[in-house]
Amino acid sequence: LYGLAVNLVGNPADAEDVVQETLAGAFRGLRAFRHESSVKTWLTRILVRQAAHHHRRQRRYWPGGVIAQPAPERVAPSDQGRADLRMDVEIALAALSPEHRQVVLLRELEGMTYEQMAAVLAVPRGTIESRLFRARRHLQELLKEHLT
Amino acid sequence: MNACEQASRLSAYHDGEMPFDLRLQFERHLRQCPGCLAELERMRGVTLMLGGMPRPEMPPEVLQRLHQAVDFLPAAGVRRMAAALAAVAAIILVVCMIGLASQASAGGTAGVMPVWESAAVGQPLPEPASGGAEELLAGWMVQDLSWRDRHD
Repeated sequence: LYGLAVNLVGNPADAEDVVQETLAGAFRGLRAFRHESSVKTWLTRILVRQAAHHHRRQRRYWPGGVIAQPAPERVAPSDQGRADLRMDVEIALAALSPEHRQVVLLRELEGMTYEQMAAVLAVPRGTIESRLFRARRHLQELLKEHLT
Repeated sequence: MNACEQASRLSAYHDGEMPFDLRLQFERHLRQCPGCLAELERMRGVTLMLGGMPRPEMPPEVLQRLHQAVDFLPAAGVRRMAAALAAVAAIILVVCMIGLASQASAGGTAGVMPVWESAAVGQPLPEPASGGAEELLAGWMVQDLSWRDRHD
């Protein structure tokens, strides 16, 4: 939950708040949990909603938007190269819309199936598929320097 | 960017979320569509990049704070319930006090001895210029009773 929260809200301090609010929300809603989904899916759904709520409250997301320009000459992967790539991926994720970031993180980092994601985000499976496709296209565009 | 109209199915194929028969059909399409094949490769590249991202680890002090917060949750629920009950009790108390105060003020008015009673038990009344004392007393009684009828 914490790892997903950090990626959703963009910083550890806010992620801690979101996880705490998630656990408090889960505690309050424990009686309403009808075991129609796994506990992980249920908690992830609360976390994603808390992160979205947090986003609306803060009216800000990550300071992303501009992808760092790669070095003119590609060098062999090094610690610095890996760090640059990681930073570029983080910035690219930050540049996505919240809806696109959610599906990318749930699929690529959490390994959820489309059905699980549909349950977490309360949208039809077809919406998940189309959002994920558009999000990945956006990421390809943002990270094209690393994909050549 | 790949303009093939079949491209929107690439994600489902890439994620293994396509039924077997559709998968075979889409693989036939991929063999004939270099655009989709190239986009599939880029999609795999993005997945590899994202998979290489380190998972944020929760620092021990954050974990400790969360444990404390979770331990605090049941007590917080009890406190919330106690606060709600106290608020309800306070409202009931205020309403009762207002009701008692209004009853007391109404009773206070009724408790004032009417003029005819004062006249009946008090000093002898002076002789009126026109009419006897009984007539004056009867007038006060009628006045008092009609006042009560209006306020009951």
